[in-house]
Amino acid sequence: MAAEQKAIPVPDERTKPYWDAAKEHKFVLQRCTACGLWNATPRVICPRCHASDFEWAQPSGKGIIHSYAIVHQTTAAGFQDEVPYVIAHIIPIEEPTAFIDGNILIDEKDFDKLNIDIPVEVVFEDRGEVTVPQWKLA
Amino acid sequence: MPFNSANKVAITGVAHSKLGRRQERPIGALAVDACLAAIADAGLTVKDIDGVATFPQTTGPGVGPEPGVSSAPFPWMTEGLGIEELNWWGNGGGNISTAIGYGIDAIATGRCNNVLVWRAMYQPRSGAFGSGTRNTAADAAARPAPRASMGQQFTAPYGFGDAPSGFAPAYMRYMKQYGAKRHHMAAYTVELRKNANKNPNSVFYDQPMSYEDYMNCRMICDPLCLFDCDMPVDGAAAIILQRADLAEAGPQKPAYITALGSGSYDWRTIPPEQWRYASSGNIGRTLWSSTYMKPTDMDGAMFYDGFSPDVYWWVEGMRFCKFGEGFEFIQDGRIAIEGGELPINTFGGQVSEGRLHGIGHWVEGVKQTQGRADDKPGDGARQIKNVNNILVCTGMLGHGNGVILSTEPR
Ligand SMILES: [Zn+2]
Repeated sequence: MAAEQKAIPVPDERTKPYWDAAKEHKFVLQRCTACGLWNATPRVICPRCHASDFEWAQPSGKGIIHSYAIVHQTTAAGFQDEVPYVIAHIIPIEEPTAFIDGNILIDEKDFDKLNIDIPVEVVFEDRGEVTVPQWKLA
Repeated sequence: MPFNSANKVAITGVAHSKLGRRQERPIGALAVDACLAAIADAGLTVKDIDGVATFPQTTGPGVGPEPGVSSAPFPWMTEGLGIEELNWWGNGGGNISTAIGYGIDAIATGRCNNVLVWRAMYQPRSGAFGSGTRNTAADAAARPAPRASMGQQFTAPYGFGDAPSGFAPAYMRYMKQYGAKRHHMAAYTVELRKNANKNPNSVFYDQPMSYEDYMNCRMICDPLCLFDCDMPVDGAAAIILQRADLAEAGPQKPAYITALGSGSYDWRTIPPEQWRYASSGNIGRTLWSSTYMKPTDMDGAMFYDGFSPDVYWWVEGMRFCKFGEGFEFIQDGRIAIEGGELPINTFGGQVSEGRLHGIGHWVEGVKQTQGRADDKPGDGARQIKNVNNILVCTGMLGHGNGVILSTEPR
C-alpha cells in the first residue's frame, strides 16, 4: 500500500532527461559543456564559469555517503509504514560539489554498517509508473 | 568593517501573547495582543509607531494563510492594530532577525523612529506541524500519491520533506566527524528545560526533564530525538525598536544595538552542515569585525534552536570555541545561568519555551539586558547577574542576523 502513496516526481522540461534515463536504469546528471561541472539537479547557469549550455552525461554511479539519518517518524507521504528507513546525501565521485538526495537501501539489521564517507553505488527502484535512482553500500 | 549604526538604535518594549498548543484565539488576535503589550511596555501608543516589520507574510509551510485566522501579515495587522500612517515598513527574508536588521537600518538612516516588529506562529488544527493534515498511515491511505514538482521531485520521492529530515543528516555528520555523542547534547537540553521551568511563558514550565528522560526519549529522525526538536505552539511576540535618544526618554532601560552581523550564501555550501555554518560562521565573521568587543565580553547568548544541535554550529561559528569543539564547550555547567561562563537560551529556547521562530530569543535577550528576565519576582533565578552585553543570533541555512545588546552605548 505504502509505495503507491509515495510522492511521484513530475518531470519538467529541464528534468525530463533525468527521469527518462532512470526509467531505463541509467543514472545521468546534467553537466556544463564549457567547464565540466556536474550538477546534482539541473541548473540554468553554471555557478563556476557562467556558461549556460549543458549536456546529460553518465557518471560512474559510484559515490560516497556525505551524511545520512535514520527516519523513525515522518510526515512524508507513503513512508509511514516503512520506518525505520535511511535518508542520505550522496556525493558522486566525479563531483565533490554535487549532493544527491536519496535512500540507502539496507536492512535494519545492517544499520550499524552505515557511516559517513563510505562508498555506495547507484541502484534503481521501480515504482510502477516511475523509476527512482537509489543507493546501496558498495 | 565598522558598524556605523552602532548605538543609534535600542530595543525597549517587548511582549508575548499567550503561548500554547492549538489555542482557540485566532492568531491575528494573539499577534495584536503581543504588539499592543509591547507598545505599552515601551511607554508608547499605536500612534507613535511609524515603522513596522515582520517575517514572513504567512506563518509556515502547509498552513493556509488566511489573514487574521492562520496568519498575521503586514496589511492585515495595520487594520488589526488600527494603524493610520507609517513612514516605513519591511518584510524580512528568512528569519525575523532579518526584518529586525532592516528595522535597525531604517531607524539609523532616519526613515522612521519607532519600529514595531512581530512574529506570529500558527499550527494547523490537526496533524503535525508542517505536514498539512497527512500524519497517519490511515490518513495518507485515503489520499492519492502527491505529485512532486520543482525541487521536491528530487526529495519527496525519498521520504525527505519535514524539518527533521533536513537537520538530522547534518547532525549525524557532526557526530561522526568529531565524536559527539547523545549524552553531550543532554548538557544543552536538560539545562534548557531547567530554564524553561523558571519561565512562566514556557509550554514546559511545569514539566521537568531529567538526563534519563532525555537519553530514553524516542527517535524522530536518528540522531534527532523528540526532545531535540523545538515545540510547536500558537502564539506571537513583539519588540519595539527606537531611535536611541527617544528610547532614553522612555520607561524601560534601552538595550542598545552595539554590533550587527549577517548570514550569507555560498554556492558551495550545499552540504547540510555547511548551510548551518553559512549563518553562524558568517554572522560571527561580520559581527566581530563590526566591533572592538570580543566573545569573552558576552554575558549570555540567545541562539536560534529549531533543533538542539544548532547550539554547536552557533558556539563554533560565533567563535566561542574552535570548529568541532562545540559539543565539549557546552559541558560542565558552562551554559548554566548560575555560574556559567556563557549562559545560553535562559528562557528555555525553542526546544523548551516553544517555537516562536526566533523572536522568543530577541524578547529574552532584551529582558536579560534590561535586568528584568525574572517574570515572577521572587521565584526568579533566571536573570543573569551583572549583565553588560548579550548576544542574540537567529536564523539558520544562510540567512539571519546577530546583534550585541548592551546596557550602555559602546
Ligand atoms: Zn561551467
